[in-house]
Amino acid sequence: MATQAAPKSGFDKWKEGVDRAPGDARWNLWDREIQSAVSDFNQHLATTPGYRPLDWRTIKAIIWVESGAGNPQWHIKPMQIGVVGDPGMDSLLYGNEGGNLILPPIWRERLTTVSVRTVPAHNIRAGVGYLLMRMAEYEYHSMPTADTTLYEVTVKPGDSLDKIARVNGSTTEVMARLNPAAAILQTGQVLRVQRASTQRVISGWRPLSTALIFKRYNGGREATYVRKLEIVLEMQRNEK
Amino acid sequence: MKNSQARWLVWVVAVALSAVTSAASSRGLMNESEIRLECGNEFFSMAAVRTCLDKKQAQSEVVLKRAEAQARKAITRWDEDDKYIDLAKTRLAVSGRVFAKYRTEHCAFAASMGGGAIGNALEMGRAACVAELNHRRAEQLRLLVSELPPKQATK
Repeated sequence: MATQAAPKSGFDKWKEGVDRAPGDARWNLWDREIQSAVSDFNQHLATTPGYRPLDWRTIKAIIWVESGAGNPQWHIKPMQIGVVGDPGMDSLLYGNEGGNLILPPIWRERLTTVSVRTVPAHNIRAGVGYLLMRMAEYEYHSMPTADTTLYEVTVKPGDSLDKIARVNGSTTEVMARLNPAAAILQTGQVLRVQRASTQRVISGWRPLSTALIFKRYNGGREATYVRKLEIVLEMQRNEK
Repeated sequence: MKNSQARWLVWVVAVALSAVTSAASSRGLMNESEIRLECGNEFFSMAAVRTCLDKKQAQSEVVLKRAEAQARKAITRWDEDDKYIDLAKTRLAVSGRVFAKYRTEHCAFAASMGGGAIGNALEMGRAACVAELNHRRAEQLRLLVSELPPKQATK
Protein backbone atom coordinates (compact mmCIF):
# COMPACT_ATOMS: atom_id res chain seq x y z
CA MET A 1 0.00 0.00 0.00
CA ALA A 2 1.36 3.38 -0.99
CA THR A 3 1.99 5.76 1.89
CA GLN A 4 1.01 9.40 1.62
CA ALA A 5 3.78 11.92 2.07
CA ALA A 6 3.25 14.31 4.99
CA PRO A 7 1.96 17.69 3.78
CA LYS A 8 4.69 20.27 3.46
CA SER A 9 4.69 23.09 5.96
CA GLY A 10 5.04 26.69 4.86
CA PHE A 11 8.54 26.56 6.28
CA ASP A 12 9.43 23.57 4.07
CA LYS A 13 7.98 25.32 1.03
CA TRP A 14 9.94 28.46 1.81
CA LYS A 15 13.09 26.42 2.33
CA GLU A 16 12.63 24.79 -1.07
CA GLY A 17 12.24 28.26 -2.59
CA VAL A 18 15.35 29.50 -0.83
CA ASP A 19 17.29 26.43 -1.89
CA ARG A 20 16.63 27.57 -5.46
CA ALA A 21 17.38 31.21 -4.61
CA PRO A 22 21.05 31.25 -5.67
CA GLY A 23 19.92 30.82 -9.28
CA ASP A 24 16.96 33.16 -8.93
CA ALA A 25 17.72 36.83 -9.58
CA ARG A 26 14.71 38.00 -7.53
CA TRP A 27 16.47 37.07 -4.32
CA ASN A 28 19.41 39.31 -5.19
CA LEU A 29 17.24 42.28 -6.11
CA TRP A 30 18.43 44.42 -3.19
CA ASP A 31 22.13 43.42 -3.21
CA ARG A 32 23.40 46.72 -4.59
CA GLU A 33 21.15 48.76 -2.35
CA ILE A 34 22.29 46.79 0.70
CA GLN A 35 25.96 47.12 -0.26
CA SER A 36 25.60 50.85 -0.79
CA ALA A 37 23.74 51.33 2.52
CA VAL A 38 26.19 49.22 4.52
CA SER A 39 29.13 51.03 2.94
CA ASP A 40 27.64 54.41 3.95
CA PHE A 41 27.13 53.27 7.54
CA ASN A 42 30.57 51.64 7.78
CA GLN A 43 32.23 54.82 6.55
CA HIS A 44 30.19 57.03 8.88
CA LEU A 45 30.77 54.93 11.99
CA ALA A 46 34.36 53.84 11.33
CA THR A 47 35.83 56.21 13.92
CA THR A 48 33.51 55.26 16.76
CA PRO A 49 35.20 53.19 19.48
CA GLY A 50 35.21 49.46 18.81
CA TYR A 51 33.27 49.58 15.56
CA ARG A 52 33.68 46.51 13.39
CA PRO A 53 32.54 46.96 9.78
CA LEU A 54 29.14 45.47 9.14
CA ASP A 55 29.06 42.63 6.61
CA TRP A 56 26.44 43.44 3.97
CA ARG A 57 25.49 39.76 3.82
CA THR A 58 24.21 39.95 7.38
CA ILE A 59 21.71 42.55 6.22
CA LYS A 60 20.87 40.47 3.18
CA ALA A 61 20.10 37.56 5.52
CA ILE A 62 17.90 39.74 7.70
CA ILE A 63 15.98 40.96 4.64
CA TRP A 64 15.45 37.39 3.47
CA VAL A 65 14.10 36.48 6.88
CA GLU A 66 12.06 39.66 7.36
CA SER A 67 10.31 39.64 3.97
CA GLY A 68 11.83 37.41 1.28
CA ALA A 69 11.24 37.40 -2.46
CA GLY A 70 7.70 36.33 -3.20
CA ASN A 71 6.14 38.22 -0.31
CA PRO A 72 4.59 41.55 -1.34
CA GLN A 73 6.51 43.24 1.50
CA TRP A 74 9.75 42.44 -0.34
CA HIS A 75 8.93 45.33 -2.68
CA ILE A 76 7.70 47.76 -0.02
CA LYS A 77 9.36 47.26 3.36
CA PRO A 78 12.13 44.67 2.90
CA MET A 79 13.41 45.24 6.46
CA GLN A 80 9.87 45.39 7.89
CA ILE A 81 10.59 48.55 9.86
CA GLY A 82 7.96 51.27 9.67
CA VAL A 83 4.63 49.50 10.06
CA VAL A 84 1.91 51.86 11.25
CA GLY A 85 2.71 53.06 14.76
CA ASP A 86 6.24 51.60 14.70
CA PRO A 87 7.97 53.18 17.71
CA GLY A 88 11.32 51.94 16.42
CA MET A 89 11.17 53.99 13.25
CA ASP A 90 10.09 57.08 15.19
CA SER A 91 12.90 56.68 17.70
CA LEU A 92 15.44 56.31 14.88
CA LEU A 93 14.24 59.35 12.95
CA TYR A 94 13.05 61.67 15.68
CA GLY A 95 13.97 60.20 19.06
CA ASN A 96 16.78 60.84 21.43
CA GLU A 97 18.13 57.31 21.42
CA GLY A 98 21.14 57.73 19.17
CA GLY A 99 19.60 57.73 15.69
CA ASN A 100 21.21 61.10 14.95
CA LEU A 101 24.63 59.59 15.70
CA ILE A 102 24.06 56.43 13.69
CA LEU A 103 22.56 57.81 10.49
CA PRO A 104 24.98 59.33 7.97
CA PRO A 105 24.13 63.06 7.65
CA ILE A 106 22.79 62.75 4.12
CA TRP A 107 20.35 60.03 5.22
CA ARG A 108 19.31 61.98 8.31
CA GLU A 109 17.92 64.49 5.85
CA ARG A 110 16.44 62.07 3.35
CA LEU A 111 14.67 59.53 5.53
CA THR A 112 11.11 60.42 6.50
CA THR A 113 8.23 58.47 7.99
CA VAL A 114 6.60 58.25 4.55
CA SER A 115 9.76 57.33 2.63
CA VAL A 116 10.69 54.56 5.11
CA ARG A 117 7.21 53.10 4.67
CA THR A 118 7.07 53.31 0.90
CA VAL A 119 10.55 53.37 -0.65
CA PRO A 120 12.39 50.03 -0.29
CA ALA A 121 15.84 51.65 -0.46
CA HIS A 122 14.87 53.94 2.42
CA ASN A 123 13.35 51.04 4.35
CA ILE A 124 16.63 49.16 4.04
CA ARG A 125 18.61 52.14 5.32
CA ALA A 126 16.20 52.72 8.18
CA GLY A 127 16.39 49.02 9.07
CA VAL A 128 20.18 49.01 9.04
CA GLY A 129 20.22 52.27 11.00
CA TYR A 130 17.82 50.90 13.58
CA LEU A 131 19.77 47.67 13.95
CA LEU A 132 22.99 49.62 14.50
CA MET A 133 21.28 52.05 16.86
CA ARG A 134 20.27 49.03 18.95
CA MET A 135 23.76 47.54 18.81
CA ALA A 136 25.59 50.67 19.91
CA GLU A 137 26.41 51.50 23.51
CA TYR A 138 26.15 55.10 24.63
CA GLU A 139 27.46 57.42 27.27
CA TYR A 140 26.87 61.05 28.08
CA HIS A 141 29.97 63.22 27.81
CA SER A 142 30.61 66.89 28.38
CA MET A 143 31.62 68.28 25.03
CA PRO A 144 33.01 71.77 24.36
CA THR A 145 31.00 73.81 21.87
CA ALA A 146 32.51 75.55 18.85
CA ASP A 147 33.29 78.51 21.09
CA THR A 148 36.47 77.39 22.87
CA THR A 149 37.14 80.79 24.47
CA LEU A 150 37.95 80.73 28.18
CA TYR A 151 35.89 83.22 30.18
CA GLU A 152 36.24 84.29 33.80
CA VAL A 153 33.45 84.57 36.34
CA THR A 154 33.48 85.74 39.92
CA VAL A 155 31.78 83.59 42.55
CA LYS A 156 28.82 85.28 44.21
CA PRO A 157 27.17 84.33 47.50
CA GLY A 158 25.02 81.18 47.07
CA ASP A 159 26.83 80.03 43.90
CA SER A 160 27.75 76.43 43.21
CA LEU A 161 29.69 74.91 40.31
CA ASP A 162 26.47 73.47 38.95
CA LYS A 163 24.69 76.84 39.08
CA ILE A 164 27.63 78.71 37.51
CA ALA A 165 27.87 76.08 34.76
CA ARG A 166 24.16 76.33 34.01
CA VAL A 167 24.10 80.13 33.93
CA ASN A 168 27.20 80.30 31.71
CA GLY A 169 26.28 77.56 29.20
CA SER A 170 28.85 75.08 30.47
CA THR A 171 28.78 71.79 32.37
CA THR A 172 29.82 70.87 35.89
CA GLU A 173 32.39 68.40 34.51
CA VAL A 174 34.10 71.04 32.36
CA MET A 175 33.99 73.57 35.21
CA ALA A 176 35.59 71.06 37.59
CA ARG A 177 38.29 70.21 35.03
CA LEU A 178 39.14 73.88 34.41
CA ASN A 179 39.10 74.73 38.12
CA PRO A 180 40.70 71.84 40.02
CA ALA A 181 41.10 73.98 43.15
CA ALA A 182 37.41 74.90 43.30
CA ALA A 183 36.19 72.03 45.47
CA ILE A 184 34.94 74.60 47.99
CA LEU A 185 33.82 77.91 46.51
CA GLN A 186 34.46 81.21 48.19
CA THR A 187 32.71 84.44 47.40
CA GLY A 188 34.94 86.62 45.18
CA GLN A 189 36.87 83.65 43.84
CA VAL A 190 37.53 83.86 40.07
CA LEU A 191 36.76 80.76 38.02
CA ARG A 192 37.47 79.83 34.43
CA VAL A 193 34.51 78.92 32.22
CA GLN A 194 34.28 77.35 28.77
CA ARG A 195 31.04 76.79 26.87
CA ALA A 196 30.08 73.11 26.81
CA SER A 197 27.09 70.80 26.71
CA THR A 198 26.30 67.23 27.72
CA GLN A 199 25.94 65.03 24.66
CA ARG A 200 25.16 61.41 24.00
CA VAL A 201 28.09 59.70 22.30
CA ILE A 202 28.75 56.19 21.04
CA SER A 203 31.04 54.56 23.57
CA GLY A 204 31.21 51.05 22.12
CA TRP A 205 29.43 48.30 20.24
CA ARG A 206 27.78 45.07 21.22
CA PRO A 207 29.26 42.20 19.23
CA LEU A 208 26.84 41.46 16.39
CA SER A 209 25.43 37.93 16.38
CA THR A 210 22.28 36.19 15.20
CA ALA A 211 21.20 35.86 18.83
CA LEU A 212 21.61 39.59 19.40
CA ILE A 213 19.80 40.47 16.16
CA PHE A 214 16.96 38.25 17.36
CA LYS A 215 16.94 39.94 20.72
CA ARG A 216 17.36 43.57 19.74
CA TYR A 217 15.81 43.78 16.25
CA ASN A 218 13.08 41.13 16.57
CA GLY A 219 12.59 41.60 20.31
CA GLY A 220 12.60 37.85 20.87
CA ARG A 221 9.14 37.71 19.31
CA GLU A 222 9.66 34.81 16.93
CA ALA A 223 11.32 31.77 18.45
CA THR A 224 12.53 30.37 15.12
CA TYR A 225 14.19 33.65 14.06
CA VAL A 226 17.76 32.65 14.89
CA ARG A 227 17.43 29.30 13.10
CA LYS A 228 16.02 31.02 10.02
CA LEU A 229 18.76 33.64 10.04
CA GLU A 230 21.43 30.97 10.34
CA ILE A 231 19.98 28.94 7.46
CA VAL A 232 20.18 31.99 5.23
CA LEU A 233 23.66 33.02 6.38
CA GLU A 234 24.89 29.49 5.76
CA MET A 235 23.45 29.57 2.24
CA GLN A 236 25.20 32.84 1.56
CA ARG A 237 28.49 31.51 2.83
CA ASN A 238 28.09 28.53 0.50
CA GLU A 239 27.31 30.86 -2.38
CA LYS A 240 30.83 32.33 -2.31
CA MET B 1 -40.31 6.41 29.79
CA LYS B 2 -42.30 9.58 30.20
CA ASN B 3 -41.67 12.55 27.87
CA SER B 4 -40.33 14.72 30.70
CA GLN B 5 -37.89 12.00 31.75
CA ALA B 6 -36.70 11.58 28.16
CA ARG B 7 -36.14 15.31 27.81
CA TRP B 8 -34.23 15.33 31.08
CA LEU B 9 -32.03 12.48 29.86
CA VAL B 10 -31.32 14.24 26.57
CA TRP B 11 -30.42 17.37 28.46
CA VAL B 12 -28.08 15.48 30.83
CA VAL B 13 -26.33 13.82 27.87
CA ALA B 14 -26.05 17.14 26.05
CA VAL B 15 -24.50 18.77 29.10
CA ALA B 16 -22.08 15.87 29.56
CA LEU B 17 -21.04 16.00 25.89
CA SER B 18 -20.67 19.71 26.07
CA ALA B 19 -18.48 19.36 29.16
CA VAL B 20 -16.30 16.78 27.42
CA THR B 21 -16.00 18.93 24.30
CA SER B 22 -15.24 21.97 26.39
CA ALA B 23 -12.59 20.17 28.39
CA ALA B 24 -10.97 18.92 25.19
CA SER B 25 -11.00 22.32 23.54
CA SER B 26 -9.80 23.89 26.74
CA ARG B 27 -6.77 21.62 26.67
CA GLY B 28 -6.23 22.74 23.06
CA LEU B 29 -6.14 26.45 23.90
CA MET B 30 -2.78 27.94 23.08
CA ASN B 31 -1.05 30.74 24.87
CA GLU B 32 0.28 33.68 22.90
CA SER B 33 3.83 32.36 22.60
CA GLU B 34 2.50 29.02 21.29
CA ILE B 35 0.39 30.91 18.76
CA ARG B 36 3.44 32.86 17.62
CA LEU B 37 5.47 29.67 17.37
CA GLU B 38 2.79 27.95 15.31
CA CYS B 39 2.86 30.74 12.75
CA GLY B 40 6.67 30.87 12.91
CA ASN B 41 6.89 27.18 12.11
CA GLU B 42 4.33 27.41 9.35
CA PHE B 43 5.74 30.49 7.60
CA PHE B 44 9.28 31.61 7.12
CA SER B 45 9.41 35.36 6.62
CA MET B 46 8.40 37.74 9.39
CA ALA B 47 6.04 39.42 6.94
CA ALA B 48 4.27 36.09 6.38
CA VAL B 49 4.31 35.28 10.10
CA ARG B 50 2.67 38.63 10.77
CA THR B 51 -0.03 37.90 8.17
CA CYS B 52 -0.60 34.51 9.80
CA LEU B 53 -0.95 36.13 13.24
CA ASP B 54 -3.30 38.80 11.90
CA LYS B 55 -5.47 35.99 10.50
CA LYS B 56 -5.40 34.18 13.84
CA GLN B 57 -6.50 37.38 15.53
CA ALA B 58 -9.36 37.82 13.03
CA GLN B 59 -10.42 34.18 13.43
CA SER B 60 -10.40 34.53 17.22
CA GLU B 61 -12.68 37.55 16.92
CA VAL B 62 -15.17 35.46 14.96
CA VAL B 63 -14.95 32.67 17.55
CA LEU B 64 -15.56 35.12 20.38
CA LYS B 65 -18.50 36.79 18.64
CA ARG B 66 -20.05 33.38 18.04
CA ALA B 67 -19.50 32.39 21.68
CA GLU B 68 -21.09 35.64 22.85
CA ALA B 69 -24.09 35.07 20.60
CA GLN B 70 -24.44 31.50 21.82
CA ALA B 71 -24.15 32.65 25.43
CA ARG B 72 -26.92 35.23 24.88
CA LYS B 73 -29.06 32.56 23.25
CA ALA B 74 -28.49 30.09 26.09
CA ILE B 75 -29.34 32.73 28.67
CA THR B 76 -32.50 33.69 26.80
CA ARG B 77 -33.60 30.04 26.80
CA TRP B 78 -32.58 29.51 30.41
CA ASP B 79 -35.22 28.03 32.66
CA GLU B 80 -35.07 30.88 35.16
CA ASP B 81 -37.13 33.90 36.17
CA ASP B 82 -37.00 36.79 33.70
CA LYS B 83 -35.46 39.04 36.33
CA TYR B 84 -32.35 36.84 36.56
CA ILE B 85 -32.20 36.30 32.82
CA ASP B 86 -32.17 40.07 32.30
CA LEU B 87 -29.51 40.49 34.97
CA ALA B 88 -27.31 37.83 33.37
CA LYS B 89 -27.68 39.45 29.93
CA THR B 90 -26.70 42.83 31.35
CA ARG B 91 -23.71 41.34 33.14
CA LEU B 92 -22.65 39.57 29.95
CA ALA B 93 -22.78 42.83 27.99
CA VAL B 94 -20.86 44.77 30.65
CA SER B 95 -18.23 42.08 31.03
CA GLY B 96 -17.79 42.05 27.23
CA ARG B 97 -17.06 45.77 27.21
CA VAL B 98 -14.68 45.56 30.15
CA PHE B 99 -12.98 42.53 28.63
CA ALA B 100 -12.38 44.49 25.40
CA LYS B 101 -10.74 47.28 27.40
CA TYR B 102 -8.64 44.83 29.39
CA ARG B 103 -7.62 43.06 26.16
CA THR B 104 -6.44 46.33 24.64
CA GLU B 105 -4.35 47.26 27.66
CA HIS B 106 -3.04 43.79 28.39
CA CYS B 107 -2.01 43.20 24.79
CA ALA B 108 -0.31 46.59 24.64
CA PHE B 109 1.65 45.35 27.64
CA ALA B 110 2.33 42.02 25.87
CA ALA B 111 3.60 43.94 22.84
CA SER B 112 5.88 45.98 25.08
CA MET B 113 7.62 42.74 26.09
CA GLY B 114 9.32 42.98 22.70
CA GLY B 115 11.28 45.92 24.10
CA GLY B 116 12.90 48.03 21.41
CA ALA B 117 12.13 45.65 18.53
CA ILE B 118 10.84 46.99 15.22
CA GLY B 119 7.11 47.63 15.11
CA ASN B 120 6.31 44.58 13.00
CA ALA B 121 7.72 42.30 15.69
CA LEU B 122 5.83 44.15 18.42
CA GLU B 123 2.61 43.82 16.43
CA MET B 124 3.18 40.08 16.11
CA GLY B 125 3.14 39.82 19.90
CA ARG B 126 0.05 41.99 20.17
CA ALA B 127 -1.92 39.98 17.59
CA ALA B 128 -1.01 36.67 19.27
CA CYS B 129 -2.07 38.08 22.63
CA VAL B 130 -5.46 39.22 21.29
CA ALA B 131 -6.01 35.79 19.72
CA GLU B 132 -5.18 34.04 22.99
CA LEU B 133 -7.46 36.21 25.11
CA ASN B 134 -10.37 35.96 22.66
CA HIS B 135 -10.16 32.17 22.61
CA ARG B 136 -9.95 32.03 26.40
CA ARG B 137 -12.93 34.33 26.85
CA ALA B 138 -14.91 32.34 24.29
CA GLU B 139 -14.09 29.17 26.21
CA GLN B 140 -15.11 30.75 29.51
CA LEU B 141 -18.43 31.83 28.04
CA ARG B 142 -19.05 28.37 26.64
CA LEU B 143 -18.32 26.78 30.02
CA LEU B 144 -20.47 29.25 31.94
CA VAL B 145 -23.60 28.70 29.89
CA SER B 146 -23.05 25.04 29.13
CA GLU B 147 -24.93 23.90 32.23
CA LEU B 148 -27.90 26.23 32.03
CA PRO B 149 -31.03 24.13 31.89
CA PRO B 150 -33.27 25.26 29.03
CA LYS B 151 -36.91 26.08 29.55
CA GLN B 152 -39.19 23.10 29.10
CA ALA B 153 -41.15 23.29 25.86
CA THR B 154 -44.78 24.21 26.64
CA LYS B 155 -47.36 21.60 25.71
